[in-house]
Amino acid sequence: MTGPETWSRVKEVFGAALERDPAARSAWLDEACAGDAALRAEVESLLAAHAQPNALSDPAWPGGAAAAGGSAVAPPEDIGPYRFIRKLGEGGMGQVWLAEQTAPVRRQVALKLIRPGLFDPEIQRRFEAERQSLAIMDHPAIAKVLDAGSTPRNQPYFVMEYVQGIPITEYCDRNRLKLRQRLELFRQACDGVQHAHLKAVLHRDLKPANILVVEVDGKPTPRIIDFGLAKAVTPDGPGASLTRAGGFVGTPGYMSPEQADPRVRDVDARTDVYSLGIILYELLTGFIPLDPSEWSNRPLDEMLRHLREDDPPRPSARAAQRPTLEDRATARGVDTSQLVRRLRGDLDWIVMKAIEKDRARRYLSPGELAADITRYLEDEPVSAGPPTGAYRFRKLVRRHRLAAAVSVVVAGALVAGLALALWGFVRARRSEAVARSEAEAAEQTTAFVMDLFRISQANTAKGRTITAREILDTGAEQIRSRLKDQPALQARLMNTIGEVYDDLGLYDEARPLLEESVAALKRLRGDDHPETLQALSTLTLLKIHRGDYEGVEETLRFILAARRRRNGDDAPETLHAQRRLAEFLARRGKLDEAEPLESTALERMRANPKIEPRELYVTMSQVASMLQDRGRLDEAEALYREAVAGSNSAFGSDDTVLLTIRNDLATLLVSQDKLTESETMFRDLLEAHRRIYGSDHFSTLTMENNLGVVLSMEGKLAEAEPFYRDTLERRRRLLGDDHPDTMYSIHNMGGLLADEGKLVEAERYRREAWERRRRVLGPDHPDTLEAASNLGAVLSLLGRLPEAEARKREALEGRRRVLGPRHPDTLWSETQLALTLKKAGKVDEAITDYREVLAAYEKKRPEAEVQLGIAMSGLGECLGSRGASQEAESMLLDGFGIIDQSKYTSAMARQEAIERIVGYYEGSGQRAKAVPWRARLDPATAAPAAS
Amino acid sequence: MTGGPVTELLVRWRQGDAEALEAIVPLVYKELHDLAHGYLRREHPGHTLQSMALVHEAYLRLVDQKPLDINDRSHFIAVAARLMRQILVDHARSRGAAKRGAGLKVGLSAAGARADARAESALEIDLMALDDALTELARLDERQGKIVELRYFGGMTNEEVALALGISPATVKREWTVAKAWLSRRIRKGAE
Repeated sequence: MTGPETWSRVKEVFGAALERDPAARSAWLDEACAGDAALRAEVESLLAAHAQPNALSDPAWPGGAAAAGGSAVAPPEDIGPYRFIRKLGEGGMGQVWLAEQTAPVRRQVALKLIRPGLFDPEIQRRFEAERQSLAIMDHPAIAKVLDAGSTPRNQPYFVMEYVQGIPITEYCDRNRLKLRQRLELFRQACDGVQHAHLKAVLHRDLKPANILVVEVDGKPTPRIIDFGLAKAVTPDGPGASLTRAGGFVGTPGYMSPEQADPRVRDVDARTDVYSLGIILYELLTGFIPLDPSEWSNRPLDEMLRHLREDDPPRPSARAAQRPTLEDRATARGVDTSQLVRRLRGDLDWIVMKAIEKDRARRYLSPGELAADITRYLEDEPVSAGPPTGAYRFRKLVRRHRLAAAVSVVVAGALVAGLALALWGFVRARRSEAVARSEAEAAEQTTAFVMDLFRISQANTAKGRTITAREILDTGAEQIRSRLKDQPALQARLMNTIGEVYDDLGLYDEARPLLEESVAALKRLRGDDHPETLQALSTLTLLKIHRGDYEGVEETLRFILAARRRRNGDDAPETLHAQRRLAEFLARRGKLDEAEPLESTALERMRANPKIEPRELYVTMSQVASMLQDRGRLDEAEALYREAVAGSNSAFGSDDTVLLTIRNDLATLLVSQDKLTESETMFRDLLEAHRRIYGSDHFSTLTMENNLGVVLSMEGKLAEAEPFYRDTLERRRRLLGDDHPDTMYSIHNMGGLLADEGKLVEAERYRREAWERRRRVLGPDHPDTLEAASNLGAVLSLLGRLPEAEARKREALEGRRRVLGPRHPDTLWSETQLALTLKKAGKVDEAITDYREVLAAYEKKRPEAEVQLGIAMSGLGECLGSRGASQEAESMLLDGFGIIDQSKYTSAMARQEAIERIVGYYEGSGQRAKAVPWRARLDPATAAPAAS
Repeated sequence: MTGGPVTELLVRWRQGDAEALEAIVPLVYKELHDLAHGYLRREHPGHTLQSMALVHEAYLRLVDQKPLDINDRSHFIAVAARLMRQILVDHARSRGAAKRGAGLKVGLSAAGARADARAESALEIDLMALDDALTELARLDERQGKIVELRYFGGMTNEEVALALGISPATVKREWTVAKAWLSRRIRKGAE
């Protein structure tokens, strides 16, 4: 081990060696170390480590603490022909300066300096590639990129045409542009973006500040700046579309849901379409759906979730909503009601289609968006249309797994809810001894509920299915109109209906009802009356669902305090409020506060026989989930089990709460490696889901998928197959072939069949997965490359070598490009290719590839070890085909050893490695050595002994 | 937590009140810790997105968005970097058992476990191993330990580290390069 004294010498030599040309290093080291072998070994080993990609190069969090407060960079020195005049602005990526170019022409330009520290060699390479594509764009609506390069301090910069314009939204408002003029201007901007897309350049950060308007011959013309900059300085990879160095690459408010989704690794033309849609929204209504001022005082993850999941109001609804609209509308040259009317219908649909959360439903390109605007301007029917009921329902189900359960039984819930309301009402009345008799109130409520169902029956009789939604809508309307003279009952029923709307995810419908009900109860009963608190609690839940957290914590604390005062610490109502508060705190990441609160609530609930069992078990599973998050798996398991047992005996096996908790438990078991039990549970769960929700339900398919995965993890491939097949078939039918879930199912199916040795069929699925991904995700998407590689593997096994080679080469080249040459996936691709090359008789090429792989190998993850084993075994085979040698034999044996010992090995990899050994010994006349190995071959697949 | 007290403490600290720093640390720690766990418990593959966001958020919340004097800022970040190291490593430790187990998540999102298993980044770092290695490095070379902490956990640039430690950026760069090589070799050795 090095001590501090030798260390400083090591550092010195290491630093100096790095400055030499790599080719000359060895000779230089001879001299510098002058016989000190230990020093030399240490330095060489460090140099070798230095040559590897190093995960430390990226901060634990890109941008980290330092990026948060702006950059500490001194004003730049002049660069080449550019003289800095003044700073125009500063953003996440760096600073923009107004500069004067002195040669070859004298003109003013905008010079964008990329933040230092944002760059590493990988990004540098990308930057070079990107600046070339930027140079080929030529469109009147796009500011030209004039030059790009790096400063002497290696800080990259772009030089752009200096556009003295103002942001499109500001221009429109300032000049009071009419709706039609706004649309025309916007359409031109779409054309510019479309042009760039045709040149394969995405913007990725479209916002009004990047679409400036200048007047050319008195006519407003949009000019888009900063094209492609986001890409040039962002690496790919999960979550990469968010920043590297302190700002968002997408801009809050304008960035697309996929940019906000760490699981999504690619963005495409539709990302720009989304941002354009938001800009159009703003041009039309004066607001953007997500208020940027909220970004600074809300937790980021909430905003991102909100962005990914919650649908914004339609432009017409938004325009009608705000009191400040008057001046905005005036700025548009219309009055509010006129504006709302004009937005309703076509323009609503166009905007909503452009800003769909699911990009598969968006316009495919800015060109399509522009075309629809043209259609609107020319009074032709637009391609965007109102979403269908079925579609809305699907979206809803997608958003709320639990809400789906509610929607299935919504009619039941409504009746139960009203009955409860009635009961509560009666009880309240009794306690307050009001004049009206209980019987009368009860009768009115009953009549009211009956009415609702009469409507539904009448419609059913007409041969039309009535939806739960329609019952609710009618109910809400009736409550408003018919119960005016009974404000307390009205408030309570509003609360109930609002709650059901909320369960269904229909937040816009829920909100006015809940707010009115709270206001009415405060007025009628007082602020801390139990009924008021109950209504307040419901309203708070809605706010949480909507991601609107302002004041929620305070309200929850208020409810808890009020109930403690009124009912005592151990009362069910109090404990419920306590659990709600804990749940909310946990959601906000305040686990340290949440955990004791939740645990105490649980303790007190256990001690209180009056607690509703459902409340108790939900609390238990929440505590369990917190334990799971903290890695205390065994404790979590025990608690889940208790909750499962308890809710099973309390509600029976089909209860939705029970199903949810059991699913949590089964999932936990997988991470504990208790696969057998997990399998049993998923089987039960699947059966129950099928019975309760039907075989096509979203949750049912998730269970089916999970069961298949667990079975295949257990190695029960044949058993897993029917589940994979069924999931796939249903997803195809329900979601379409190109839906991500469906594509995963196709991919998984191909993998399973290949593992089973059903190669002909596996080839079909793998080809389909590859073709779909290439088309939907693009050729360089990691999933597409994985699919190409897998397809190549099956083709190789089938002996279709030329095509196998082509696919594998494609995967290898793509991964080199996207992931870099030393990434484990790239190396695995190279091994795969070598296997096929050997098969095709191209032994020299195969050997070269194998050696490259072995030289670059690093143990980065467990399955990489098997891959190393396969490469060694493959190299041994190639070498052996040249005649027996020590190296060939040890590669074959060591390779097999690694494969055999890893828990990530497949039976096929093991068999192949043995086959190679047998082949080697038999081929080189060492029959005796071959015998024990041949005995280890699976007789079903083994080729007969060479005679 | 409002921005007020921290901003005020930072100002007092700049004016030479050493106790102010002691008062800041628990505030910053609490904020960072709560935020960190809020993000980390969601278990997305790779922490980077969430972590960046949370430091940004913590910073904004703590200093009330007022730009700080540059020296205060680098000290603030130095404190935050140390704390973040602690938080991240604690988190990694508490999750260690689960992570080193099956390594597979059942795809409740229906994405499928096969895909999930591959989502782990090749360059993901074993934070516990890094923490140990870094402690060892600091014994060998204290300043290098500091530089790694600021660069890796604090996300500072070479220039910023230079400013915080009062040395030249060229020195930072040199020391950082060798420290990186040393650490990655140490971690790799430990993994084998």
